[in-house]
Amino acid sequence: MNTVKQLLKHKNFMFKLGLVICIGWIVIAIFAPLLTPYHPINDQNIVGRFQPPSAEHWFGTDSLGRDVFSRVLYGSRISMSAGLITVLISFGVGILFGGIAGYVGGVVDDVMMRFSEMVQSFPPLILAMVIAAALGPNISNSILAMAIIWWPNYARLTRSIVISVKENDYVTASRILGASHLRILYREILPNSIGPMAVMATLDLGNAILMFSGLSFLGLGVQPPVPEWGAMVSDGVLTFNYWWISTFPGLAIFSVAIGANFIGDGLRDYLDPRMRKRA
Amino acid sequence: MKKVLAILLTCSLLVSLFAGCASGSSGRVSTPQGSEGSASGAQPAQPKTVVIGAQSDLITLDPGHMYEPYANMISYAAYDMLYRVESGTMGTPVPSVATGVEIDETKTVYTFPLRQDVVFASGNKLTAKDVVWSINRVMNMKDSNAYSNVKIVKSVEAPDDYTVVITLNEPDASFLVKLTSNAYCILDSELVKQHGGSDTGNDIAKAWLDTTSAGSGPYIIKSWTPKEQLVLEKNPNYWGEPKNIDTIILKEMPSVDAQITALQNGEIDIALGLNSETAKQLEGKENVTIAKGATALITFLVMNRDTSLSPEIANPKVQQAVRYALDYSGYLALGGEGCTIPFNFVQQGFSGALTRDPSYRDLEKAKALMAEAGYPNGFDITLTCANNNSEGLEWTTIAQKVKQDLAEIGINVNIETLEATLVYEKMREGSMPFYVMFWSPDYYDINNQFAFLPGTGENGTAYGNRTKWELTDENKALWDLANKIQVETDPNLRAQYSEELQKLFDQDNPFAFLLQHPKTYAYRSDRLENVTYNDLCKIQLCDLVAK
Repeated sequence: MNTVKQLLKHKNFMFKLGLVICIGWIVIAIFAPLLTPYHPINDQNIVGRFQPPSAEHWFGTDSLGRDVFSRVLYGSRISMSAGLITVLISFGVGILFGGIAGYVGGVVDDVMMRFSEMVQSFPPLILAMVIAAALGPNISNSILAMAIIWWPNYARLTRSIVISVKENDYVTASRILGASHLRILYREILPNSIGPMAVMATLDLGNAILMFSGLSFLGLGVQPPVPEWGAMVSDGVLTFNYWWISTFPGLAIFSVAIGANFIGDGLRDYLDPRMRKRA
Repeated sequence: MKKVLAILLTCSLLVSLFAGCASGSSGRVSTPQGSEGSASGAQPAQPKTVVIGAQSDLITLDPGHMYEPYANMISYAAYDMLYRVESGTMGTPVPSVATGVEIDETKTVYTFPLRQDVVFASGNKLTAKDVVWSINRVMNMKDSNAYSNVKIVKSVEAPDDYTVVITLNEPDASFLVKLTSNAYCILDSELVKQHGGSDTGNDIAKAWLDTTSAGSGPYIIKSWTPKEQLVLEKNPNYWGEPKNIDTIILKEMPSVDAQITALQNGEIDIALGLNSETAKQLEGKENVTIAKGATALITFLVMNRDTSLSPEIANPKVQQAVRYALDYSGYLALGGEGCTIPFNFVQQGFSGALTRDPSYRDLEKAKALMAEAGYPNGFDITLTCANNNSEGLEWTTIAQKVKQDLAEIGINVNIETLEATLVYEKMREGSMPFYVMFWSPDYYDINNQFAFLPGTGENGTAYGNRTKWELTDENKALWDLANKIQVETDPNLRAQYSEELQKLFDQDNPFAFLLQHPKTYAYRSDRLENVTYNDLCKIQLCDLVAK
């Protein structure tokens, strides 16, 4: 609790801006049904399709006459939760994998790290596309596909932190006191390595949302008529004179990605005292 | 410092985003440019050039081998046939080199008297022996794509210099329509023989015919660089009334945006790569006319009769309910101007074609049929759609509308979008229960549409096999009518049978036909007139007149 207070007191405009954007979107995601004037899927209006932004339809209407504003607000639920779940899965898998590799070391470390490098050596978007296409395009499969390509980043970071932390005197001390490996990992190493991991996770949140949108844009994420930002951008590509169809979901992706990045940056600055002083 | 930079970057990003939107909405300001070369009316002596932008996918220019969508645009400019498609119609054959036709009682022997004034570009006279030689040439090229249009021919003879007699294997009322395709182009036999041409097999003239033409049309193929451009030049020896164009260039432009820009600034005179959506970028632009031409392209839903895939959607009563549940006027609005709703499998422009009343929707009937079929509470079904479009109407848009429509009778549709090639593969295997598809015929006659009639196995039809729609005693009557249409040469009787067939087909079939689409294209109205379109040869190059 103390940390959070300190963090907020900390003079960092970008961090606060990011926080406002992200909290704003979370509020929108939760209260979407109350904020939207139309249903994002069922309110088709063929006669009123391709309407430009107006008082009635703030963001205009799409190819089936649906309200783009309502769809963008509802889209936050899918895009942000997909990004969040992806990061959480990769985070969990990465910490476990990298933690074991770093702590055990030796041959186990070599084998595990070579494996993660193998995964990393594939171009990420292509690999995600292949996996999503092979499993069949839907939300859970594309989240899975992204998690599969994402976790090595966390594994590598965790491993390097664990290796440096486990040489510390307090770890040695607790080992001499007879603590079990599990206790050492959980009580000594984890708390001391979670900071940089959290920074990476927040920074990644934006990337994950972007990539999920990218997959949906390519038709490998959500299936229509589910409102998802990337898929909505792709809806407007063929009909480029109706700029509003792509632009508003595009801005939504942009704002969330940049908001998450601001938070990540602020967090990193806060956790790194040298950076803090310089700033 | 870093933060300031970040803010600045963010702002500039936002600004550029908005700037992008603004220019997208208002469009480019079209600058009135002086036209280059082609249309300077002041000097009539200057050669006139017409440039067409398209993605043609041409792979050969030999009329005996061509089968690509744009094949006949070229063959119609460089060659003559016995019969041609009448300008502005879908596929109505009119005499060209032939002056008419006489058909005997067996409906298998066609006698064509020929015009006597036709000369090839080489100066040779076109006689019956050229016609016989050209048809025999294709008949002996069994691996050619064009062969499918001549395999109906049993033999072709020339009793004298200006009479051709073609004998068919069996009566075929669509023969005159087939006769309008590039497979029946009349080649200058003397000239082609000098370059390896043969009417008895082992023809090696293709390589030469890919670089030039040996016909009697108003234009000669001057040069061709595949995937770049094709140049047609005026035939100085043309036997007919020549138009005022000296050169026609078909420029390969795979990007539609490039075509739109090029048309606006006058680099090209006709843009063929448009569809109803992309053409909207040209709306209201100076000197640009957006035109629509009739096509036989139809979009429909396929409901597989294979009960192992989905017993629900395979039920004929459910399929009928789906047809009643669809909001046809909505699809008509989605398709845009020029679209029509086909009654079922026969397109407008073909013999006896009927149309569907947009108010055909009847939810009460549909619900009753669902209850009768045993699904009063509906069911779940996956609707597959390729990431493709029908003349600009995205299939995912159609699928979302279908989902909405069918929700009204309790059918919960889950949309699955797949790569187009994968969908076509699954379609041929018949492994999808419910999907969106389109169809364009190989030749412009109702006979080609019998691919939608029931029949499975080796002697089955394309869609009979794709939907496992078996030929039974109940639906045998469809084929009784189809067989009559196939050979009936009297147009009135044929139309009458066709109407009967469509009404019978309507009572039970595994499809829901949604739309027939027009082709959208655009041209420079300040430089061209008499721009006509038909689905077989796209732009009728022979008709074009420069201003």
